[in-house]
Amino acid sequence: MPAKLCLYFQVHQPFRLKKYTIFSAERDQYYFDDEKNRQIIQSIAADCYLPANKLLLELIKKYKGRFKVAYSITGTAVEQFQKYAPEVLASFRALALTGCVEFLSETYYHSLSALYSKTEFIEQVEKHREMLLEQFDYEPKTFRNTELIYDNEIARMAEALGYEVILAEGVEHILGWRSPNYVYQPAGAGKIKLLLRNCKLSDDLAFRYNNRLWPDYPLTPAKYLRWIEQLGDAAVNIFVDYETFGEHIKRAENIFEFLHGFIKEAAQSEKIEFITPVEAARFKPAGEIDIPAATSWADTQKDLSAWLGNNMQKDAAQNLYALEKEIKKTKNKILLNDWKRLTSADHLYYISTKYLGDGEVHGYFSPYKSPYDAFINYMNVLENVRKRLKLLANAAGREDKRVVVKKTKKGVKKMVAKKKTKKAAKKPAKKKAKKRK
Amino acid sequence: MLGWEYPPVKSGGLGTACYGLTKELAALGHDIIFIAPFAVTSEKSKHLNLLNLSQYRIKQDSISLKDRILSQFKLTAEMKKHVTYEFITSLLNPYLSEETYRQKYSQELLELGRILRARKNFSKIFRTIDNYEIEYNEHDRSWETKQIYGENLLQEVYEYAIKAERIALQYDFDLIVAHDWMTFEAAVRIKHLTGRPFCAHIHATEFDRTGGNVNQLIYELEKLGLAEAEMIIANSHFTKDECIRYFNIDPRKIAPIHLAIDKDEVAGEHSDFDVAKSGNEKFVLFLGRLTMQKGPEYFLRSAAKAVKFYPDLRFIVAGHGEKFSALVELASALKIADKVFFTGFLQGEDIRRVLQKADLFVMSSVTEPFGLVTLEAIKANVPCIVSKTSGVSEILNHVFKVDFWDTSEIANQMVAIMRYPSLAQTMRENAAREAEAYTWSWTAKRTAQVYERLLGCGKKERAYAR
Repeated sequence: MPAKLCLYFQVHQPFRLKKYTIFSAERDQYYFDDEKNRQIIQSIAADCYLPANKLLLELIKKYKGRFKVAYSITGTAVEQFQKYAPEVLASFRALALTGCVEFLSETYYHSLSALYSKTEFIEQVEKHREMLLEQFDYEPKTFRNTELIYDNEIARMAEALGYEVILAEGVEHILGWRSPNYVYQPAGAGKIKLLLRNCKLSDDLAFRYNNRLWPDYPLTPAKYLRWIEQLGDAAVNIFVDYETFGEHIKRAENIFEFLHGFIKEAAQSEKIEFITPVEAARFKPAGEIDIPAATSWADTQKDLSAWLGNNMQKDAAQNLYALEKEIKKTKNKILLNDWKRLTSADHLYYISTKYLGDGEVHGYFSPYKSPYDAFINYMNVLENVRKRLKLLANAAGREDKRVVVKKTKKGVKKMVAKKKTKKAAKKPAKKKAKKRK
Repeated sequence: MLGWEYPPVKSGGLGTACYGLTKELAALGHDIIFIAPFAVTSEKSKHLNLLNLSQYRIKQDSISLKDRILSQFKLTAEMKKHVTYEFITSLLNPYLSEETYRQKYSQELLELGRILRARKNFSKIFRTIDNYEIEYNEHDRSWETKQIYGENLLQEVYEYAIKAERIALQYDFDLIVAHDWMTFEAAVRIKHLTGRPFCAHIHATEFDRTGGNVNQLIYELEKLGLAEAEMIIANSHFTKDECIRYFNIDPRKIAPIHLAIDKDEVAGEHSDFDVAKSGNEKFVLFLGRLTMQKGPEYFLRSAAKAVKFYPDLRFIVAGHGEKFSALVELASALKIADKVFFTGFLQGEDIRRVLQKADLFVMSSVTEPFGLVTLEAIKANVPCIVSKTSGVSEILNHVFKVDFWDTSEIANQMVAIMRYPSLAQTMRENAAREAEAYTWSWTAKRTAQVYERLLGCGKKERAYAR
């Protein structure tokens, strides 16, 4: 039996916040740094998404069904592609049309809602599902939670939502003697299958590929292939950020040549068969895996500490989710949308103080100079969200809303006249997107 | 070791630094003779031989210096030219020739020293030329009323130099160490007199103190000291860069070694004071000299902005200096006079107490070569906002780093620290852990390495000369 190789790439971009001070919280109701987001999206599109998609599309066509791949693309990324780089979306659609690509389901906003609010979690998963259907005409069967955050409860929720397969990190200390290269079943769940990420092989590619101190440097397609072939009859799951190709590891390091060479050789090899996660559903599980405390694919700890490691992060998350019910009560779509964008786990990741000073991964991804700045910015935004909420609640309590609009400040006018402004704002954005095409 | 401040007599970070450094150097087995212009022996000076120069007086000699030299030595025409300066007169009235004193007098004296040195019996001759003696007066208490940086600072610096030079001859030592410009003249003299290597510690440059509006004389003294020193120890990369930029010093001879703090120096439980506080007010502390360099006005302007968002804020301005009255006026103009407390100059136990009272420490310095007080604040469990233009900002991650002029950002951070206990707590814990690495023992070890390298070189050179 050939080794089953499952490649899955994560595509995510958050709505980064602009510099937002206590003074901004007094008057400014727009939180996002459109210019920075546009620059980042367009630069990564040019360095990574477009060339990688082009390469993989060619390979899929060339090997007619022998090469398959899976993507998980967040809603916030898709929204920004629509706005700033529609050609990226088009190239993903072209990949979807080949039939050799699986799209995974996840939370639309790449959030930690699974840990904080079941209702919000289900809403976001549903929204992401709708998005996949609309954008790629795809009905997902596999669920992967934000950052591979996983525990028994999340597996149960995914199964209840009708998913057949769920992905998680193959955390060594939980697996013990067991191998991540088999299909498992989550403890206490029904039929849903559990696929575990092969940390070693995934990180060889994502983190060690360009490390000159690594004994196996440089990593060649043949070497990498040999490692996988050696595993024999197994299901090897290599899950990495899509940005690994061309963004984290630059084109100059020959990462695209590597990817091309590796897929070419793997597709031709008799000892390897590409599969996508949903195909693993037909495999017989090798056993049950019990993960009561949440794991993730982040850092060396493989737990929640990248997002909820310090008190500021916990404080920020609690403050955010504490607003959920009231915001939903107002039924104000703009406010709700802003709040949902704030649920992106990235905002909490930026507040991590874990490796501060070491110049580690957290610093690389953060748009802030320090986690403390990130925290202040985020909390100031939440402060304004609370203010808007209060104004809306007051306005709702009165009978004649027009009076409120006349009497109060600018901000209220904006909010009450939401329906008009929203439509007006949407149209030019689409036009711009078309122009860029 | 030559220094201007030594605790308990001190005005700023210099004395603290001298204490911390010498204590650990002594622990490493170094014998230290510390020459200070005014000093009181105390618990803190047990580990070294502390000499209080105020207790030495200069004896005046009636015999003309010029005559004496002429009568004793056969000097060349060139050398005669150098000694036409009336040493004694200028000594007693340094202000008469202050402008030219450094450029001509000292340079030529040094030149003379070099020539004499070439004759190998320089120290003997030197002793004769400078025919003044100093006497020790144990009961002289007049100095106790003097200010450490008095009006006649330059004169005192000058007296310090010649007294120190004299005293140095009474002791045997391997290395001359001097802290900042006040003692550089003395160090250079001793160096030329004894041929021992000289290591300069630089804690602040004239550019830091004045913001570019330098006193030419002090600048020249600094430049002389830095140029003559075999090795320079700067308290941060920031200071090192200044030495290179303004004094044109070879970067290879400057070693940046960050300062530190002792664990037991500022100890205290933060929680103790939460109880003592009345009401909900939170205290933001400014601690430092009230001078342009320390940027106290930016602190007040930030305070005025922050208080609008957090009315329970109170501000403590601790320190004295030329800007005091201007700051009091500014506080009134900003309408926060009722929320700002000026404590005047604080030291020792008072600093400890004020730090324990503080919920936040702000160092809004325009330039700050190191900023030792930040480490003290961290040790006292106070979260900090520090200016980007400071030495400590190089070594700390768990503090806010801000542009001193960006008062809105400082206010933003002040309010956030007060509003969100999780932020203040995370900063406190992480900063304390981070600051632990900076102990005096670590600083002293690295300093001693520099010294040893210098002594190694010095010995070789001397051996070679023989």
